[in-house]
Amino acid sequence: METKNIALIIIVILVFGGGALFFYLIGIHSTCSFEKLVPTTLTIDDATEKLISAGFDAEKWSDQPTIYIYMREQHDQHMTNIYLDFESDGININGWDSGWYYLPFLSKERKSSILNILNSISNDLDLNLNMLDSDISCKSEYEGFLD
Amino acid sequence: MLINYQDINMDNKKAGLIIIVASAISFMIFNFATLSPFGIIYAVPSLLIGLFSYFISKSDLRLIGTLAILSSLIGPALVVATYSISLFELHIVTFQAPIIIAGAIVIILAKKS
Repeated sequence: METKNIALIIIVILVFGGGALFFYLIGIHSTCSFEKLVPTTLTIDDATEKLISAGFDAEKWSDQPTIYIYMREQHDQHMTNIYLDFESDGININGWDSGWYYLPFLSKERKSSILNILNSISNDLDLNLNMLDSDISCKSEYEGFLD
Repeated sequence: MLINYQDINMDNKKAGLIIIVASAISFMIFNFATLSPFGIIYAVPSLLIGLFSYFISKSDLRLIGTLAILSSLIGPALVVATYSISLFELHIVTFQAPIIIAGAIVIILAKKS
């Protein structure tokens, strides 16, 4: 085999193998969080029933006035946790979304995905949520595998 | 689809190199954009086409270029289908553009020859 062919194979292995390993080691984890209080007279039992019938994986916590909605992407790269805390003046919708796969580059898309979920909940519960991009804050932090 | 290998200006080795380099660029764009190693999934199909063209194939460059472009869709289709189909266009345009351009260059230069 010619020397330049061997060199090409070595370069390909270094670029792709080394590159993948490097980025595997410096993986960054991103979290988006959100919180908004929505006035409503809806009861926690009615809300739980509506969310479950709408297809959400919703669970009413017996020890707290809270509905917990858990969503996980099929390939486990993302998970979204939504809490509906029933308070005297309405529902405090809050929670977080995290994943290793996306970063600031894709945070706009991620925010859009969260907004879609929250808007769907809002519609199912007849709430006037009106959540905006600016209501969701995203941050990224190191969670690689060098430690 | 086979043409006379001697008649073309761009040989399979050059076409293979162009596709290999484009795969590396695509791989790095993905990795830098997401700081994750999954660009390897996006780049491997076209990388294999490039290596095939460089080391083995003496077939029509238009076929090689077309295969490179089609192979660039495999990674996004596999990954995005399990994540969010709405990302497909974004991933194709941003991450796979170098491979698509390289495939187009190979096809165009092959047609000129």
